Amino acid sequence: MFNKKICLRGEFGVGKTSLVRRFVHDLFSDDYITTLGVKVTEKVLPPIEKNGKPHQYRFMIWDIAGTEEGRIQHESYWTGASGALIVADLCRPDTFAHAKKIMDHFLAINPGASVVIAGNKADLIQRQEIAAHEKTLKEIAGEISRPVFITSAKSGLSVEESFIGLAEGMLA
Amino acid sequence: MDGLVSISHLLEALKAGYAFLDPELRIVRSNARFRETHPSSPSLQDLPVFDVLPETVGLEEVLKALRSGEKTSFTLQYIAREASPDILYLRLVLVGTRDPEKPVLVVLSDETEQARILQRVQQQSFEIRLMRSLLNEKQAALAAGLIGSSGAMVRLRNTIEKLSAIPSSTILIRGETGTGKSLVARMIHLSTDLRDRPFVEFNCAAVPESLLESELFGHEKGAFTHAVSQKKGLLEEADDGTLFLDEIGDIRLNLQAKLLTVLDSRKFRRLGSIREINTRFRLIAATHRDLRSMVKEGSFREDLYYRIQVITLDCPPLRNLEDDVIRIARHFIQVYAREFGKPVAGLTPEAENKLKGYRWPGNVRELRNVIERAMIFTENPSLDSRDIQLQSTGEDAPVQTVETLPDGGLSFEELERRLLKQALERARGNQSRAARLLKMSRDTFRYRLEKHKLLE
Ligand SMILES: Nc1nc2c(ncn2[C@@H]2O[C@H](COP(=O)(O)OP(=O)(O)OP(=O)(O)O)[C@@H](O)[C@H]2O)c(=O)[nH]1
Ligand SMILES: Nc1ncnc2c1ncn2[C@@H]1O[C@H](COP(=O)(O)OP(=O)(O)O)[C@@H](O)[C@H]1O
Ligand SMILES: [Mg+2]
Ligand SMILES: [Mg+2]
Repeated sequence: MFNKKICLRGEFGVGKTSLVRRFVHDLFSDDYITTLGVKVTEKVLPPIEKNGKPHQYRFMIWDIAGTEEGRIQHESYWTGASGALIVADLCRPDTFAHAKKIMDHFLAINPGASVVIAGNKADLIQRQEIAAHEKTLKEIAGEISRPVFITSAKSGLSVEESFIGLAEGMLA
Repeated sequence: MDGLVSISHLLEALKAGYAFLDPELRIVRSNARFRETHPSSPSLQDLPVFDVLPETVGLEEVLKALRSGEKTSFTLQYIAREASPDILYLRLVLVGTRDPEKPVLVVLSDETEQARILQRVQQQSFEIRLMRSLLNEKQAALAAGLIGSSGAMVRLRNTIEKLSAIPSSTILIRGETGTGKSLVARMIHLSTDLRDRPFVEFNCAAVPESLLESELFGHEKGAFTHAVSQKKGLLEEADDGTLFLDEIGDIRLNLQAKLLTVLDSRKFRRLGSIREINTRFRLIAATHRDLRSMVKEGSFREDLYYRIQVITLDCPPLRNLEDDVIRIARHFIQVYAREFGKPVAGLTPEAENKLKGYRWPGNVRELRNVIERAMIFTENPSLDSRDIQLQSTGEDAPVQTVETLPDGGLSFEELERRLLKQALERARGNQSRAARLLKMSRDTFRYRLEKHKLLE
């Protein structure tokens, strides 16, 4: 079992806490209670196969307070992270550019770390819109070839996949 | 260590928790306060720090640098921990000691009080901004606006419409809680050309006096203890838009004076700054208090009162709105029927009578909650009087008993646990809603969830 620290980052209200709650406890709430500071939750992932060998991770998930316009505070939270789930809100396209800023900053501190981008709240927008947003996010992520997931903490869409995607990035 | 004072005495005096780590990063000495933060194992002796403090996982490099003296300390602020019934916020500091036996000192201190204040302030501003950004979607829902065809409601709607032609004037909205003051403020904003400009809503009663001023005016870095960075105030955010000050009657006199100055001069300064900033916004104020008698008592400034009451709107209490109770109830039935996917058509005549006979101290907000609850529980094609549970009628509100005590007794804990789970399921995971179903506050509800380990 490998213990790995991973961080959730993104603008305020994009759904970081909700994604963690869905992933760890399979719960969701419409209430918004903004996160102050950081809350660490553990979760053991299902084993991942690589070259015929199973790898098992225990994630220490750092749910970190949201940024305002991408401004970084508390940089020390990022120290020693093996991965980051960078979250954007599909209903707020302005959060995309901030996600890019945060991702670049994170990789500067933790070069070589695994990064996944999640476009969250898919349940709130129309199908046609999703495709366009996904394309934009892929352009942002594509520059450094990181995967993009379209997620919904509310419906559960691709939530587990995103976290597993992070673990796979660590094996790559 | 430097011989002046013992570190452990110092840390005890500061009410901090501490532990020393050995070269293998295991805990070798800790005080009671430190162990309190990890109540599941009574002694932490010889446990690896990574097991005791999950926040240290990943910090191997940092710990190495502390041991070698390359780094002197490392700090993590505001680490949240679930601690029943509330959340605790800790500061974690790692310090290198240069003692080969105990090369690292871990200090934990309680920052909960400060964190709570910061959390509340951020909650206000983030919540508003998140709502505003989702406004386009909500706009459609709001278009329905104020429901009702009683004389008072029709007059109110007409006034709002007229106001759209005079976008600059200050407006005061009066009314009891839950009568729709916030809704009216938003409708006014949306009905004018300011529609695409910011609508900044702020509840003056929800933030401690000491922070109100910096919220409104903003501050420069270092203007006061918690001002860790520069921040725009609401006056600045509302520029060219609408500033909605809810519960304006709750602002103290000295801040009233400052607000009046801004309204007159259209200029203000951030705290800690000498630069004047120009701002133009429409002020909408609301209160459930009687400002005129507050003026008489001397708790509200007369000049500010006259400045804001140029145009006054009164949101009437629901009990004076005749049949509107039924119209508004039907509206909410439609809303929740869609949300819960339940084909409930309307109200039986008995249910209507029950709604009409009640005083509605919480007005439309209370009506909405009553309908929401009824819609969650009902199995009927129309809401029946038994579905309608009113708070304070005394008679006619039979407590729904769940069961009689079986002869063999039952596990009360298990019953409580099942009810909590059911409420959560019915409310689809929404804790506030689930708490309302069990008629308890959200905090109490969360406390009980935690007790049964139904919470993270
Ligand atoms: N419909 C929908 N709402 C969501 C989804 N994810 C989050 N939300 C809602 O969005 C709001 C913010 O969610 P949070 O999870 O608290 O956001 P956050 O990123 O942790 O916010 P901060 O801690 O303030 O940075 C809440 O009201 C959630 O219920 C989603 O996938 N779909
Ligand atoms: N006439 C009305 N028609 C429909 N909904 C209303 C009406 N008045 C109030 N509401 C709704 O009732 C709730 C409470 O209104 P709110 O504006 O928050 O009250 P206040 O600010 O006076 O306490 C909100 O959900 C609001 O949309
Ligand atoms: Mg959060
Ligand atoms: Mg209000």
